[in-house]
Amino acid sequence: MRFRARVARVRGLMRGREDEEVTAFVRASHGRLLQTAYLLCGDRGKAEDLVQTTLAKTVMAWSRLQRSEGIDHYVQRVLVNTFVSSTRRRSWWEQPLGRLVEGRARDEYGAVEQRDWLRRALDALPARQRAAVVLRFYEDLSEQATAEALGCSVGTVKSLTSRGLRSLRIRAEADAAGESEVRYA
Amino acid sequence: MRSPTELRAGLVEMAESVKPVEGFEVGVWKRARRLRARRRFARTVAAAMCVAVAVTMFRLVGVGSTPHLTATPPDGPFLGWSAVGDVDTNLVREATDVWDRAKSAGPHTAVRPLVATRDRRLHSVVVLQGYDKKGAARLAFFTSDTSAGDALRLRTDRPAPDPVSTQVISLVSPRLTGPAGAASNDGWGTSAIAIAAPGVTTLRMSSTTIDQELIQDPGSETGRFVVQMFNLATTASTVTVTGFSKSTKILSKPRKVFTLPADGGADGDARAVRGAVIGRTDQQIVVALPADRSVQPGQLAVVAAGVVGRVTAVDQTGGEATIDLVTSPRFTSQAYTNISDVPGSVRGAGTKLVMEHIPPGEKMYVYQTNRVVVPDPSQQDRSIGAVTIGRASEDKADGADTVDLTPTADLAHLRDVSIMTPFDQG
Repeated sequence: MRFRARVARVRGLMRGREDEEVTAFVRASHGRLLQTAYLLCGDRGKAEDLVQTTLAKTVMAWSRLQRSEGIDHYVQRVLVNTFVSSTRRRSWWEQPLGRLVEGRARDEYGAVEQRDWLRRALDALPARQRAAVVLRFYEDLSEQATAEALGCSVGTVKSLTSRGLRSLRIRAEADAAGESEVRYA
Repeated sequence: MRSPTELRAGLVEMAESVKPVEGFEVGVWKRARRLRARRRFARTVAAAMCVAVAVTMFRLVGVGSTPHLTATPPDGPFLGWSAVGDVDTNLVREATDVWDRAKSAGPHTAVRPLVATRDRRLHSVVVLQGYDKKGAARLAFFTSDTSAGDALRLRTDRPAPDPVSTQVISLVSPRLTGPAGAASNDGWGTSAIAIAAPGVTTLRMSSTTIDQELIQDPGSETGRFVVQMFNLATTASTVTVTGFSKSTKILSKPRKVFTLPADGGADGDARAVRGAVIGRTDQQIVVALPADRSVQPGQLAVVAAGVVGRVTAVDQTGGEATIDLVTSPRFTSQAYTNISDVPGSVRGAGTKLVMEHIPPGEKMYVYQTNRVVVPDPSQQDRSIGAVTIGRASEDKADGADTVDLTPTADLAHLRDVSIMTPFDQG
């Protein structure tokens, strides 16, 4: 009986310490993950939801993760996979109102306008291209690390990034041409 | 957005506009708990489904042990077995009438059928249980007399078997197709009838008097009632009945539930008196006899595999019979080959037998493993109930009139023997 009580107490202590660690990790990584998630989702509410899910999954896998290296890589992979999966299995009631997003009014100020343009340009990219662009140019991940996070080959990462950048460039050029036409009109 | 640097700057600027709200940890923990509960539920459902699938597989496919044959409760002194198949009430009525007239044993009461059906070989088969006029529980077999318009004939009337321990009842005789007591003259005219307890799905009967192996695929179900034909040498002493039980599971295999000697013959057949071996010398055995005065010197002692020897002395007061083994030099008998009827005589020669006096001439061949049989003096015919004594150890040489035989009965391990006695009219 005494032995069992001791085991239970040790387990309780370990669990308590584990909870403290995971809470610290959640606090430390939440902000950064939220920003990445926002870039991926384009919506603050969805980004918070995505981060919550990612961190919840991390909490559940915490004891296993502690025995392995690279918690950050794991979290990044979960974030991207959860995002890509959510775009794949979006239910009919979760369909984004494309017209509403496209028709969102532009900010009056230049910087805000620039941010708004980038937001809409990112939203127009397919999920995996968007993830590749965000991981490469915001998270500054190498091609290898991006490939690991996306669960694909380095070649696929190169292809996704290149196509994403080209789409953004074409869109920027088209918008610039449209603006000059308006000016000359 | 001309360059990756511009893109990077734009992304950083956009991301910095997002700040975490207060209390996000609570949300994360709540979500984690919800996910954990959902996974636990999914795991439980999956485990339940696995168990359900496994149980279904076990029940359907038949992995695991086959259930044992459950004993049917007795019906008083009678077997409590249900009747096999549909009962033909006309046959039951006719058989009861025949039974009541036989040997002034009737009227029979509380008659209950075990079988009352038409059969391709015997035309009609009826097996009844009932009390005779003295109140004794009896069991009777009836078959058609094909020479009298298929009128039913009583073939045997026995005491009812033990209703608790009996697993199969059977009748083996060449006297089941003609008038009462008349043997068939067809070489393949011995009929065997067997009825097993409910739960038995397949019955096999095999005879040691024929070379053809009758052990068929027990997977093909015969039901618990079979009628089978054998050669005229076949008697109840040489027939074994094997019952199998198979569950309804798809891949279950039939399980052997019993292997028993056949019960006995019909009226007119030689009767086997069983006795335990209680003593032995080099070429003789002594057998304990039941209170039965029908055993006489000169009668054959047999086991299912063949002849053991011949009764040379009977001590009726002591209830013992002395039997010379077939390998004894004192043992001689007329004999013939089962397959081509080559005649001769057999004598014992120590550890083997010698068939001699084989007449010269064409077709007087004896080949290795040919079965040699001796007539049973208790039978009314030379071929009926002829018993195997041995098999040729080698091919008979050209011009020779002898050939060595190997006894078919295992003389070294005798525990019980049957002494063939003539049918007792009384």
